[in-house]
Amino acid sequence: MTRTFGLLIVAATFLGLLQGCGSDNSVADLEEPAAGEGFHFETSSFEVPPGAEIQNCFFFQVPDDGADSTYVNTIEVAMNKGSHHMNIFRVRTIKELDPENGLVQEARDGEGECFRSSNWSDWPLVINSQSDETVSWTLPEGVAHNFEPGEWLMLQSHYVNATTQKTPENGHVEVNFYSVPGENVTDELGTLFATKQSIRICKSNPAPTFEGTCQFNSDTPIQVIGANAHFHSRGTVFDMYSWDGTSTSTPAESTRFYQSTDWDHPPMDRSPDLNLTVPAKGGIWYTCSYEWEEPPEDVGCEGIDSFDSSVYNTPDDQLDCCYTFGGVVEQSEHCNIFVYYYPKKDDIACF
Amino acid sequence: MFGARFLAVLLMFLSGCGGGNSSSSGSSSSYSCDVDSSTRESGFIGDESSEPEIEVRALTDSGGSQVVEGGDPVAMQQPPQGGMVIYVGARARNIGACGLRLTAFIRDSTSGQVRLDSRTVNLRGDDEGWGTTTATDTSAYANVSVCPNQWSPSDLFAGSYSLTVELRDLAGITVTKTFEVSPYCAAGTYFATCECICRAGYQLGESCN
Repeated sequence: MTRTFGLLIVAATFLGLLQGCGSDNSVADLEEPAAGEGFHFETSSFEVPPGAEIQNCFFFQVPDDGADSTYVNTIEVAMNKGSHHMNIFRVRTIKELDPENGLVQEARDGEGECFRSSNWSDWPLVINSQSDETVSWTLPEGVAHNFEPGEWLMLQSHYVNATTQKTPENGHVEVNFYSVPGENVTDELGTLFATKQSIRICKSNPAPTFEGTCQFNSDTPIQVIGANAHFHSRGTVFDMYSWDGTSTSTPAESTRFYQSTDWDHPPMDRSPDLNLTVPAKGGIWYTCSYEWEEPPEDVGCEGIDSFDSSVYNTPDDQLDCCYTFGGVVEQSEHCNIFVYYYPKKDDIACF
Repeated sequence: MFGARFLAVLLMFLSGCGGGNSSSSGSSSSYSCDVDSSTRESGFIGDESSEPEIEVRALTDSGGSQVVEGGDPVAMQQPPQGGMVIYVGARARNIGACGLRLTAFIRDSTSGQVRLDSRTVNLRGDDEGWGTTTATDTSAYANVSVCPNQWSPSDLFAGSYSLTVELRDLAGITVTKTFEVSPYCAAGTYFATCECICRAGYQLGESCN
């Protein structure tokens, strides 16, 4: 019995090591939908050099198959290991990030239009992922994204190969969109994106919490069926609560439906496990908490202050080794929520 | 009340707020909260035996900070990621200066709907014995996100809204003010965008041209 148990442990350990090796070097490779069952998009395979943060924006169009709409009720996302995030948006107002300037627009270390979030401030969210594992999400029966034929979409991929995150292989993302017949669709999916702006995690204010609210703008109750939160390595706890749209103190613990305590692997809660009713005119209350930490030795407070000074023109008397609002993982922080709901009233953005 | 203030002082002392120095190479336990030298020891601004006082401030479209009182206009401005926010801060005394909770919200009086921002801030001491959220630091101001207007049935720039500002220190000493303000679109580059995305019925992504 003891020997058998010991062999099982050895076997399990060996299998675990194999699994670990596999996931460390996993390469995104999705089987594409069959003809008539949807569409597929994949990025190029791009290098992420040591010390670099690469954020690329890839433009593509929904195929035009002659129908008035393409309804998508299953999305699969696969990414090579090391991805910090992947977001897909519907392209709307063109500012400095224009598909006419190239279907792939590359940015590095905070420099470039693909890092400038005001460029896509009115672009509705389609899907996001922060997982190294393949994410496959089939929406509830009758619920689907509605895409116009030829509609422009933008996939934004952020890879980090620095101190807080590592990218062992090239960056690469693949996405499958599986469609359903329009007659099977009863409700469109809507999305909500919200962010806390102008946040700073500073040495003299080392444990801040930021709270915000965002309504769904619906006169009838809605169902929240997906939730994902995003902050960087100083983040400690991220919570989301159901909110009535009018109250002004943090909602009761019993209304909390999402929590992330692992900034690098935030849960992507989704249906069927997540199916939360939010009352008419209600919304989401979210809180993100942080703990200031010493920057890596090769960056130091001097590096953090230099970034703060050059990017935000922060006066010298306010330089305080602060991790400021922004997309660069090593030097900045975020407090973002991604929420999916139906029936769609509008796609929502709260800045 | 005295017990709460004693606890406030104790908590600030224990948390390191007000202690040490602001050298950028020290450890996380040696940070200081920026208050004037006379209050640095306790991190308390003003008279611990007096009631807390607050003066509401907002960032202006010219980059400064102004006192806001009932009926005043307040600027809606574009922050880094887009949309429009009202930057709301405070000047206060007789309250702890470090790790305060600053909460600001505006309410549409017809619908009761609210937009709120709450954050942890420090106050900087001034020569008159008050502490102020730093005017040139937007992170020290509540960023009350008001546009895109997908929440109020009225144009944000065409009416008055109730503004509430609350400061709560680590001991729970709280001071609040509520009055009506009139949001307006700040002049400059983003004026037209503001008038578009802050109007009633705006839908995300619709053309503003």
